Amino acid sequence: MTLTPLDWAIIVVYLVGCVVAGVWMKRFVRNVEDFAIAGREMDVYLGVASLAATEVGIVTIMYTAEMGFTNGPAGATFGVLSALAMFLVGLTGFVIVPMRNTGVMTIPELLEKRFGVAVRWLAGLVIILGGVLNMGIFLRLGGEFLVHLIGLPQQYLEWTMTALLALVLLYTVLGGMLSVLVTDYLQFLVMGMGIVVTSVLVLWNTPWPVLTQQLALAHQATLASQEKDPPRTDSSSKAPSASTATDPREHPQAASLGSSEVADSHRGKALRPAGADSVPPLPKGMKMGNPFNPVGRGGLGWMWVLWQAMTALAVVTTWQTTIARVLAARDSRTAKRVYRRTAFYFVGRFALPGLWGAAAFLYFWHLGGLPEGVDSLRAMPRFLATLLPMGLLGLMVAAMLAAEMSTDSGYLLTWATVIYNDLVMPLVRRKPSEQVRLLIIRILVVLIGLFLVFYGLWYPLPGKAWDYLAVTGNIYLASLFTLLVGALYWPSANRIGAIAAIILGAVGPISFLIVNFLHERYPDRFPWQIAPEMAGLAAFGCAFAGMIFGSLIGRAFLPHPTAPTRP
Amino acid sequence: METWEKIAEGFWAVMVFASIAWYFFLLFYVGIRGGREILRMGHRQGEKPDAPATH
Repeated sequence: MTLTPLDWAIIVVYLVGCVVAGVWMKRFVRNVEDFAIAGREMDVYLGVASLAATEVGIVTIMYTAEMGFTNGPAGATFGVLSALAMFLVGLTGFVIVPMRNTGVMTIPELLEKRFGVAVRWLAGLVIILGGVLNMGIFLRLGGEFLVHLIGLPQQYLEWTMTALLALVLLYTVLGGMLSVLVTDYLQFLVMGMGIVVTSVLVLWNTPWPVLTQQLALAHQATLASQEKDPPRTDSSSKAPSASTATDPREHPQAASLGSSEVADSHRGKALRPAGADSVPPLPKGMKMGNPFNPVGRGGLGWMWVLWQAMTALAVVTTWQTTIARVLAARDSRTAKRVYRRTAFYFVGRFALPGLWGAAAFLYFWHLGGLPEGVDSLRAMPRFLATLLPMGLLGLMVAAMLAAEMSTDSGYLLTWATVIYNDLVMPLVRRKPSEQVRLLIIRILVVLIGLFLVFYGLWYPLPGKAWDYLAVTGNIYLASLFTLLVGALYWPSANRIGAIAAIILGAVGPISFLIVNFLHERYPDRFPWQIAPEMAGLAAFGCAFAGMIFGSLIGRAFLPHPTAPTRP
Repeated sequence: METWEKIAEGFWAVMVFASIAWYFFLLFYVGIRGGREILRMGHRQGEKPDAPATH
């Protein structure tokens, strides 16, 4: 490993401080409301820190860096759309104000007030499937980041991440949301410091004018190579991945990168502007989309941008970990202020790791390609390993551990709260005592932690697992967004419409999965494919159609369509 | 089209540098105000009538 005693000292101080602060908050937990939503005592700046820390995990940083690696700064388009959506929601109070004013603990609880207990249970199930399955990838990717950044031996990955999750479980189980808020605050500071210092160092190493000039050249080279060899519509034309990484036999220099003298010879060397004639050819498996204009030639496209805009709005209004901060806020005014003040943070959440990813692209391009075992997802940590000096490497590791821990704790608590509140409690006839209820929710946090350790870390995910995760996430966002908008803003919405929205919201993503599977398995008999943006937009369209037509049909059959009280 | 690309390039330059400046500013601003809010939250939780009850 490449860590020095100074790096280790930074990491240990951070971890000890976090756990002590988290465990200390246990003294203030008296009931489920304290545990799940911090007794609704969260103020604006603690909310900003907690929301920002929870929504920036290692997995986010790796994916946003990958977007920078394949699309340059334009890969951060979703960050800008998220910031806009969050600011507009913070300004208008769309969804979050009526939701906070109902005094519920979870989204399905609010849906029960309007659509009845069956919809609450069904919505709880959709949230858990979408949320917990998505969280399953966090630990392994977090571990892989450490493997590539500090050279953590692969055989220690599982044990390291299990130990990290055990620390997170310790303070989350004891202090619930109160511990999560305080540790999120510390993690926000450490993570912010690491992100700022690393970004400055990356720009020092690859000055902005050089970065933009070379990304433009890489894009031109990509377009030229595509004109010579037009991209096929199958999966082989996708962004570079593990399967399309550079063949080390073609690029022996790249193959030896990492621990070799090649990496050392490039360590800390700044890139200089180059003329178009001195640009090296693009290695196999590396290509650059339109680095600045997402809707320009070779860019991500209008459909993609539209889908991401819709997704951004759905995420900021329905993603339960984000909404948990709204529900923990002192009042709806505080919730709106938290949203407005956090909004711009979401630009950096994508733009800064995207910057690291774009710089990593240039670094490996000039080295002749990606080394063996490194793909577009893992290129950024490998690049940072060559860039960060002693001390800063420790800060970066602490920052990334902070990102991972804050996300894990927030997610563990949120999903446990939904299972407790919307799946378990509706089935219990006699309300147990406060102590027993606290015990139930704490056990649920531990069980989700154990599930994650085995499902996401020790059990190797099948190759298609990524697709299932994307599909469950898509069903969640499309269905829940439609349900919430219907429940809060459409007086004619009813139970039939709500159930139809959940079912039809699942049709688009599941069709995507089946059609693309058939195309991959039998390309001659099934030449069609569904683009992810089409499937994503169709999910929202189908869910809204289900809500509208289902509710209209329901009016004819239900004696009192709005029998449950309106929230 | 060239003009749009230039505008987009300028836009991302603003986004990246403003993000770094914003993150740096928040380190101190949220650092100080968030710290105060934690203390106040602890006080309020401690003053609630039946606290602490789960030890």
